[in-house]
Amino acid sequence: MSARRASVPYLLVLPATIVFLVFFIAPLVTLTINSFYDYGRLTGIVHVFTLKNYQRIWLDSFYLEIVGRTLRLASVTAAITILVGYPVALYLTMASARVRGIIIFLVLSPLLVSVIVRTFGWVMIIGPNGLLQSLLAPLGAEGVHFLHTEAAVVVGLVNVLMPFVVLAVVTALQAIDPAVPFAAASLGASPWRVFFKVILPLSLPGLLAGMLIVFSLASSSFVTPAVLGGSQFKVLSTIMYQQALILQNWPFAAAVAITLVLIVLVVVTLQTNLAERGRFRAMFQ
Amino acid sequence: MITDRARRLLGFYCALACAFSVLPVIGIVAESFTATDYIVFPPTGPSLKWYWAILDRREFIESAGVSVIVACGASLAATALGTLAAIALVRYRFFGRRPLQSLFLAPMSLPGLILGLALLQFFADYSLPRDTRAMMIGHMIITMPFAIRFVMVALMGVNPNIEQAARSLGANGWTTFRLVTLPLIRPGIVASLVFTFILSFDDVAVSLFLSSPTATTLPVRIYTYIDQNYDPLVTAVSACVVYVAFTALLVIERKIGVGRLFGLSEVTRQTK
Amino acid sequence: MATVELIDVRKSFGTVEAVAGVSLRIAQGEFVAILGPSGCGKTTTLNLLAGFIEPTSGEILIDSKPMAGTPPHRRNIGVVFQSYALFPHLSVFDNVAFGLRMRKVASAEIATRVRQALDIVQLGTLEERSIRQLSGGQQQRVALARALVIEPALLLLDEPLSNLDANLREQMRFEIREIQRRVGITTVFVTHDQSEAMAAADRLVIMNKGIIAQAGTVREIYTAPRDPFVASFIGQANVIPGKAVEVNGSQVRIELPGGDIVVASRLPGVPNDGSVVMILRPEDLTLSNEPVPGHNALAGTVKRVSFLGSTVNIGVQVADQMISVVAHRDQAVPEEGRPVYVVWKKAAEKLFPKP
Repeated sequence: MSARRASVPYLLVLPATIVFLVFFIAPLVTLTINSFYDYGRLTGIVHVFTLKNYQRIWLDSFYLEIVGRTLRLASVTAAITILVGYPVALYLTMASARVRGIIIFLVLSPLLVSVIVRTFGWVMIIGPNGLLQSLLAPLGAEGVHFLHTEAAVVVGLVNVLMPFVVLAVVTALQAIDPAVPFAAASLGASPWRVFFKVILPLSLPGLLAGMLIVFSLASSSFVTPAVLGGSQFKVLSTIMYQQALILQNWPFAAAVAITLVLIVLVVVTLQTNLAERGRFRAMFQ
Repeated sequence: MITDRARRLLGFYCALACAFSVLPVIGIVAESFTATDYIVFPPTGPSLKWYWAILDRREFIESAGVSVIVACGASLAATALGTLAAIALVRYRFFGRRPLQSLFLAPMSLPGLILGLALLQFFADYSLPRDTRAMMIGHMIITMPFAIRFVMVALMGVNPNIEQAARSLGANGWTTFRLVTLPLIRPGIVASLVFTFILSFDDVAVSLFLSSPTATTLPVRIYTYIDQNYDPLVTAVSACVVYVAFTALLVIERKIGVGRLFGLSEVTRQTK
Repeated sequence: MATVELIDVRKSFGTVEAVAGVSLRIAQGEFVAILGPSGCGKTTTLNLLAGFIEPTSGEILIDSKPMAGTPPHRRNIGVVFQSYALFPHLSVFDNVAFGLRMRKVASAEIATRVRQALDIVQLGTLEERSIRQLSGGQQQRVALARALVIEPALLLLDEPLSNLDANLREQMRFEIREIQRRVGITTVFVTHDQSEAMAAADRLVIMNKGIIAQAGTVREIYTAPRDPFVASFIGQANVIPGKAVEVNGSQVRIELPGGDIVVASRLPGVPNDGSVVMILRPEDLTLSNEPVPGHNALAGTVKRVSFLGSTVNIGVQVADQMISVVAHRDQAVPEEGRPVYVVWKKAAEKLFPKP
């Protein structure tokens, strides 16, 4: 191939590559490096290698509790979102074309609305004078303060993240050869059995993928815990925000950020390994 | 194979789930028309007074402007660069193609918050100001994976023979792209422009860190506002955000369909 | 109208050599069909001629000009693809006009030439239609018109008829031939369908595993195949293994299942000793109750009789092999189970060394 023709692809990707190297890779590298620096109110960022920030996160009980809370929140959210979203995906494969279109629209279109608006909508529902209170008032349960609790955050997160589960599971369900459930039935499996022994296992990769996406997004979520959980409800992203923008302690904020990334990475790796070695490993090959 | 009763139950559940899905958005829009001076649900009214009230609040109008400018810039840049990259990734085989593709899609796996923080520190390190241009860059990074994906999918739907045919008839690379490829991938490019625009417009994570007193995007402005206040004004502003999203949705639905936007090919009916 | 020459052309993709040394000369106005099983390198050869890929080594000359480094849009070729590759967003007229517009032909002239081209392919009335409204056969004709209207030096057709149904395919292969003769353009036609190739081409080029197995007129290849592969690829063939044993200086006995035959020795390429392969065409064979003078014979049993309309196909079991014999539908056919001799005129058999 002539030299001119061979260089075309490189020229095409050059602009995007440069942008990514400068504004994606470099900042992340800087962030990682910064996480090992020290910071003092009077001295500013001290460019000396130290593990202080990470020690603080993992050894200080205050921060450790926050790590735990973040993990707990993310796991619970992931589990509940799967339970809420899976049946929707299942029904999508059974519905008529028109109903399918409506469901897809109603489930996916909120993704185009900013998360702050969706979360604030929940405040409107569970907050003071909200929908929930006006529904419970006739029952005399006026004093119920649902807002600013962990449960409220979970509800908000489940609402925001459900579309991702539906997407992941539908993709997996669609990959199943439609003849397979019929084959199972012809061999004597009742509808329940067909679901639990055939459809569910075959959709496992999608299910797991959905869980991972939700876990990852929930653990790094800032707006929903902040608005629905209140100022006392601190998770890792809250700390990152406060340390960076209010306390100006950028190295510590960086360490929190890197910790978050590592947590998600570890969970993803664990999941993938389990998947490849577990009972249903054939599903993932 | 599933019993009729089970199917109806599942359908009913699905209806509930759909209602759950859109509840907050509907709630916000409903509340924005309230005639009361405070937030109460269900709202009274309807009244447009809170929409008019927005006009008195310069900070919201300014932020809306910032959001639009940033979104336009990010969307155009992401789509332009993304289209070039997509062509290379789909139509050519070259050394480093796979790793490069992973690099370009990587921001999808990284929480926006972290990129926002990283850019904040990066810009400060090099004494670059935190203004609309900085935010455009941040938004461009997080939206480019989507732009690239959309255009890649569009390109893969075009039979490569067609481009070869154009070349055999005398069109060089650029002419072939302009007269043949581009018209055929137009839906993908429009989807990319609209989607990246709305993604940037909606963004909170990156904007949170890159906003400054001179340049604050609308979602961040809304967040800081509800931190301190709780009145229907912000529901009217939020409702406007919903209207923007809805417009984008309509455009996308007409061009390629909401399902396909998120990667769902024609969902085929599987069980009866 | 150009001459085409390929000189020891090779093309590798990684470790796979798709074209392994192809040399060929095509005269002006000649219609050459490149034929072979899938994976033989025929489409790669076409792509090399078009310039969509460059050879790893060797030379390609069009009109005596070396094509190395010349991209497709400067080679003055017309290509018809298997999938037609019409521009879906343009009308029939604009599709056909595309090449002329690239050559900056004046609008008035474009209109005339496009109409002429559409007339040649018998699509005169469909100018303004959108591509999506056309049937497969119509799309194929538009693709042909688009390639012809620019009056290229070389016309390349890559399995253009594969996506058509059987009847249309038969009709189109003759039409393409007609058009080519009228216009006189040098044409290379790639296909895996032998009857298509045989019906349309002046010359056949049989490819196998990246090289040319044999090139020649249809009659040459059919009656004098160079090896068992070509013999079985073109026309029907019974392939019978045997052993050659020299009897004396001028004769060789071939031991075959079901009987021996004696042939003149020193046949070109055939060993006087050792394993051989004999090819018999079913239409050269007849059935008889006894051996016939002047003919060679093998003994066997009739196993199946299939009436195929204009012919009857008879399967005869000879030793552990099934031999096909084709007879005219009016000929008397023995019933199944009868012992019979398969006979053929001496020297009608083709012998090759065992590959």
